[in-house]
Amino acid sequence: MKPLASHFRAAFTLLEVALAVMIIGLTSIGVFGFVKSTLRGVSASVEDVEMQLEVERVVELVQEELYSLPARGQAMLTGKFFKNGDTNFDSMEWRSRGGSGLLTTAATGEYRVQIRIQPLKDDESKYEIGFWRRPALLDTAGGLVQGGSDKDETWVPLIKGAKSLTLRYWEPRLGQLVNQWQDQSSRPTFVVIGIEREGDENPYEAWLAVPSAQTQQQ
Amino acid sequence: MKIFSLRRGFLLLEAMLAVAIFALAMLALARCVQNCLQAEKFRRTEGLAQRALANYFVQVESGSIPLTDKATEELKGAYAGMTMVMTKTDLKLTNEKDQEIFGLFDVNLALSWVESGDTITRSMKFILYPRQK
Repeated sequence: MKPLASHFRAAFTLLEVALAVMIIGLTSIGVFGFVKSTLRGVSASVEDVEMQLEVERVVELVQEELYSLPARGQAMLTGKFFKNGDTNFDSMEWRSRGGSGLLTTAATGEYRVQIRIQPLKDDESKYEIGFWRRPALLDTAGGLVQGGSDKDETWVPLIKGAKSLTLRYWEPRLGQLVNQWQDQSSRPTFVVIGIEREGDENPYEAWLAVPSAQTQQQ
Repeated sequence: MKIFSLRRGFLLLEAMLAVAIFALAMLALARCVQNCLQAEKFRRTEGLAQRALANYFVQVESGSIPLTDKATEELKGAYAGMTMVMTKTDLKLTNEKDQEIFGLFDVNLALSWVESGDTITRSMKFILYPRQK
């Protein structure tokens, strides 16, 4: 005969264990989903910050170049449409002698540098923003001489997945923004640059001062 | 008969306690997610506000926005919902010869917007010598 006590020390039934495992399983799935979505959120946030920094860095580069523009000189800054196929894109061109504008300190002479947007070579439905560089003055033993051609042009892609680049120039004589800047002897007071990337809600917009314009007007 | 009475299940109170603990844990998790989302939104708005202030500063400095004692502007586009208040005060400064320096202003830009029912303000202060026309 079995002792009575062994009947009372009943273990969990299979149903109870199965139920407990199911509850733990469901809770684990819930917690895993939460952790996964949090990690995805963090990753999206980091990606967004990186993209933002990329755009900000390019804008700062342009600002540095605008700060470095000399007060005197012809065609130091121009803004015109850059034609690619049937489409016109905004572009801005300035003169640079190495450093941030050329993204190298090794270059000698003077270069024409343009910020512009253009389609990718291997996929024309996608665009990138970058600097186009072309020698304008060559550094020779006798000093700087006119030279260089479009054959020597180079392209530095800076922002992938770009959607649009807008450039507007403040014309102080009209008191309004204009789409192009073709006056070779003067400078706009400031330049408004707008960069939009794929997936952006709003374009990144920055108002960049051109200090040499103030000097010219005084 | 006594055997069956000893194999009891959970009490209603125990079950309710377990459910309450679980619900509290879920609430804490939900709060956590909400905080993360809010922090992300706050970061974006802060970035936007900094840009709005920097852009406005360039316009004031270049003279494209006239300098007045007090001006209020509702911003548009990406900055919709933000209000910029510009105030100007004369700076009373003297040079090393104790002569008064004219034409310098203390300019304050205050940008405010409403977020989750609270009004948030970010400001920027700078000294300006307006361009002479």
